[in-house]
Amino acid sequence: MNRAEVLNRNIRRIGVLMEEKSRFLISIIIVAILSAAAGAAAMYFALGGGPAGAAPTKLKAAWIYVGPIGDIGWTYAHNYGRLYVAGKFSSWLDTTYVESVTAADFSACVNLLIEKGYTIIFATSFEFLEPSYTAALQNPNVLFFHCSGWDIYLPGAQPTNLGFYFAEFYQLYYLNGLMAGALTTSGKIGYVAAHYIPEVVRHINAFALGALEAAKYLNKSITIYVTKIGSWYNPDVARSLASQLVSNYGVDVIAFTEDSYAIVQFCQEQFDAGNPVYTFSHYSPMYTYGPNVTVSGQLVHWEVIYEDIISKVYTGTYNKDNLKDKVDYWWMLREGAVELGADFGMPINPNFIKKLNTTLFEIDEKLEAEFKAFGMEKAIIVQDGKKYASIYNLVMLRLKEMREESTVFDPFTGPIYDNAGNLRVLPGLRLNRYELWTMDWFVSNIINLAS
Amino acid sequence: MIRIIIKKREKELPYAYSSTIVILVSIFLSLVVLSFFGINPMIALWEAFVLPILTVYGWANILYNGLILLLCGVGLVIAFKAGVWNIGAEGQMLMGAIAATWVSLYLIPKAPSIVMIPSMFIVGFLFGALWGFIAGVLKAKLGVNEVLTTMMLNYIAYQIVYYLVMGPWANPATSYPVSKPFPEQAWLLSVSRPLPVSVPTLILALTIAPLVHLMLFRTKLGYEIRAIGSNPIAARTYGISYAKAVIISMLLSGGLAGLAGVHAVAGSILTPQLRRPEQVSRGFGFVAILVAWLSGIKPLPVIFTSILMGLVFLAGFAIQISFARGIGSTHLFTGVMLLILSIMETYRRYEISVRIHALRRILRWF
Repeated sequence: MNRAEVLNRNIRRIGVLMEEKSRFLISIIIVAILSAAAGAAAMYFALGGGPAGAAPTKLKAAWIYVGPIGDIGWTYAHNYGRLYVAGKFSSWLDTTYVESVTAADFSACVNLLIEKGYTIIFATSFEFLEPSYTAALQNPNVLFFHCSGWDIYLPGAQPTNLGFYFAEFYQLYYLNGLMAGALTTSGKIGYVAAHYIPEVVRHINAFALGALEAAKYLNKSITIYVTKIGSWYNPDVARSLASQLVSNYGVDVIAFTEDSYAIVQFCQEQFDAGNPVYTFSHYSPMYTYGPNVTVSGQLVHWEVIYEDIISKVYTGTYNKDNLKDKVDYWWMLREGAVELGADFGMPINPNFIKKLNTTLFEIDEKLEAEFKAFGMEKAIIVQDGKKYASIYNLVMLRLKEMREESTVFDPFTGPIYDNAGNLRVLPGLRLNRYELWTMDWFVSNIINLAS
Repeated sequence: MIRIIIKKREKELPYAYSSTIVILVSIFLSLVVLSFFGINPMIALWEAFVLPILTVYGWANILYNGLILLLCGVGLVIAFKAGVWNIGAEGQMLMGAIAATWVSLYLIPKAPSIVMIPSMFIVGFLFGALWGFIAGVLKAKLGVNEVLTTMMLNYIAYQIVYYLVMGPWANPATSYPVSKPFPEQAWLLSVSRPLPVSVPTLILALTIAPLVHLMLFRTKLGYEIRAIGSNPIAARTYGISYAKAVIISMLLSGGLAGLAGVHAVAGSILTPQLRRPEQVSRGFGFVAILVAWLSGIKPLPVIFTSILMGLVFLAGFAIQISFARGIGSTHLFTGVMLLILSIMETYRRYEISVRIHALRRILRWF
């Protein structure tokens, strides 16, 4: 047999092998998996991953998110806060997260977390209120912090190991409203809401109050068209509602409560097509998605709240017996939990500063005194014996006022009428927190399209 | 030259064989992918697939989700056997959920559990069946493609639920879009205490799967359905009614998904109440298609594949928790499984061999 024949025979063998290959490969994979499964158990305990091996000195905190962390809105901002505290306290804090969890799977996730030694759980959706309550009762040694809930919504008495926190935006919505009122040329402003729950209704109203105040100063007549999606995260519906507001109602400024930047993108497209519609960042900076249309916005600093909570758990100030009494954060501008801005550090988009600075209105003695009290004498412009200020400076004044330790100014100060003409807040009175948390009426000049 | 030879197998590989391979290979490949992200696949395997089943709460979750998939999956098997591609389990489920809400809150709110729970399931079956029937009649009588109609009926059911929870059935006590809570006699978990899983659904599902098996393989109706599914022209020549087989299979398919819908709301660990549609069906009507295919379109193996899929979902959460890797881990498992399933479906029926001739020619030079 010569060399060529030997080779040929071998090649034929390879050919046979190849046909048998698939079955052979599959057998290999099965064996590999079975041995991996066996090995996994061994390695798991060898590497100290077992229940006894958990490091005892580190605090373990977990976040359960309702949406994906890539939403560039609500969940993204919470996850930013998580990463911040994880970095800052890395020597004694371990964190993890679970995203896109439905209320039905919440309890399974909580139990997996407890199984892994997590003792601090942040539930970042209103939808998790009932399962958080149940989980807190079932696991009295675990600390539960629920974002956006309050004891009035609970089905029973508040467990001692369940606390609440929230970064409240209504002051910022009011400021955005001032700017919207100054910028609109059609006098028609839109608002795309997620749900008509008190939190969102409060924000819509604060926004409308700002717009109406600007309208009063500038002698405009303004109508606010409000519609709702029925979901916290639904970019498609948000976009189509925004588009309806523009094409059917002639709206040229849109504020929204939805966890994506769909509406900002829509407004930028309108701008590019020569029909500018202005909007605001919501929860996370959205300036980059609409540099020509994002006027300002409401931004959150969950990390401020998370840092405070976690460090107080670490020092023992908060424990399983006192969350009910001690943890009820309702933080706003004064605590630094929220920020006015199209982007962090950019309270008002530079493209709009000139316009807002040249939009002047006549001020009365009361406003003049407020400007002076906050060191803004330069904002007062005297012409022909009358005193004027710009909307830009009014926004800056209100921003300063609301940062004060004691309440100097609050948007929800009477007289406030609802859209049926009833006087809801008596002149000079201010709504209290309970009234703000149960708000179910719209202020005047709001037209509810979803009723 | 590479030559790929595809030959139809004289005898198809058994589903038991191909599905086992799909499951094992997809878990294996998912773990390989995870290992690229610095996750030890051995530990991942343990944390994802072993730890969750060691706890009672793990099983409560697996069974709650698994029973939804089981009922939908068995229903889909009937439709698929008749060659009807029902992708409307999502909508049929929602109709079942609507039925449960209607019965427990408005029809017989005072009835005791012994009346309430069977009525919810019966009306749930009827509502789901109605949704299946519409698509079935349109296909049988007018030849309308059922893939389109069932898909569109999903959206309609979706909007009906939205309308109900935001409008006429909205709970006046909250401004959130939910119905009032069901009366306690309608809570499947409260009659199952101390077990954390709905016993009525468990019994129902474990009875229905064998019944459907008997129906499909031991009765005339089942024979007709299978005949229409495998060769409609030949079956019609033998006098089997095409319309009857298609309509009945869609009726049953929709009805079983309706039962799943009843379980999804009334058997929830949360307070049973109608919620926003995405909170009720959660896309499980589509996952059930995967469950039905993995079973080899047979009712009994669905019991296994549905529970397995329930575990896969929990495993996804477990991986997220252990490695902070996000929802991608869940999508990875289900996505790879679907991919391998499609590949295996071809491999099951065709013999595939690859011959590299160039190699042979090159080697001959030496």
